[in-house]
Amino acid sequence: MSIPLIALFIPYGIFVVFVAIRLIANMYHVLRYAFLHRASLIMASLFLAGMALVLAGTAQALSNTPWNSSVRVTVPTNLLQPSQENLP
Amino acid sequence: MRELFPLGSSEQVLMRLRQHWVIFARHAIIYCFFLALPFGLWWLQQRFLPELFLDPTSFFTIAIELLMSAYLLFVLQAFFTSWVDYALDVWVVTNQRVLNVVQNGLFHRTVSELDLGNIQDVSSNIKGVIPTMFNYGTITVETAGEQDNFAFPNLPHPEMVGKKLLELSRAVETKKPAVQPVVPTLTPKAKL
Repeated sequence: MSIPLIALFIPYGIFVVFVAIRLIANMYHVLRYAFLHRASLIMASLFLAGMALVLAGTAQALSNTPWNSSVRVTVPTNLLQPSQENLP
Repeated sequence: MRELFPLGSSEQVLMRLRQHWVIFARHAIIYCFFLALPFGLWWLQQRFLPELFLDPTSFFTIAIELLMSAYLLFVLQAFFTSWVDYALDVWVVTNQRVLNVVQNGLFHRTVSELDLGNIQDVSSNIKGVIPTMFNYGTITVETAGEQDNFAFPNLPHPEMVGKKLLELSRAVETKKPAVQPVVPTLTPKAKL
């Protein structure tokens, strides 16, 4: 069975947009009230760096997979066939 | 300096307090565990099932990579929100009032205010092994009248802060002008 790879990327993309909205809301609070707590700026940059690292890692891992290709979903054949040892 | 609220002409911020760092550290340990979890699983997979992700273009490999990426992003943003929640819970003491600013989630903020002159009693409570070790606890401010008591949990050096609050409250009390008693006077007409 073949599944277009985009079927995996669409839900992932929606999730990334959700995370980005939360990130913008967090950054809004951090920047608006930075005068209250300057350490927040350092922490915010750490979190941003972490998220950038995760996204870069994901992009790197998927870099050799063209997004418009189809991927084959295969079930190992030895799981479908009864093993010889169990046969009478 | 900017503040969360408009200050009076003679008002000065004396203390700006937030919960002890141990409170955030407890959350941070939990989040770090959840961040490290997929890397631990990846290490186990490399050690015991190295043949699992041999084909980088297989559906299973790509699905697992995207799932791991989404999981890490979710934990990181929850960690960030937890930090913002911690950093924006603040107790501000000025020479006239006490403000308790509580951030509940990203879009819910509660600011309650108490005049120093309304403070009747301040009690501090340190309960437990870790609070005793790190010297943090709850301060409860009892107020005059029907106003609710003020409580600020997990405050560092609660005894010292409580003492300072009482001193400030007494200083405000002594500065208050004496209230003139209102004595009804009878006019000559009233006498008739």
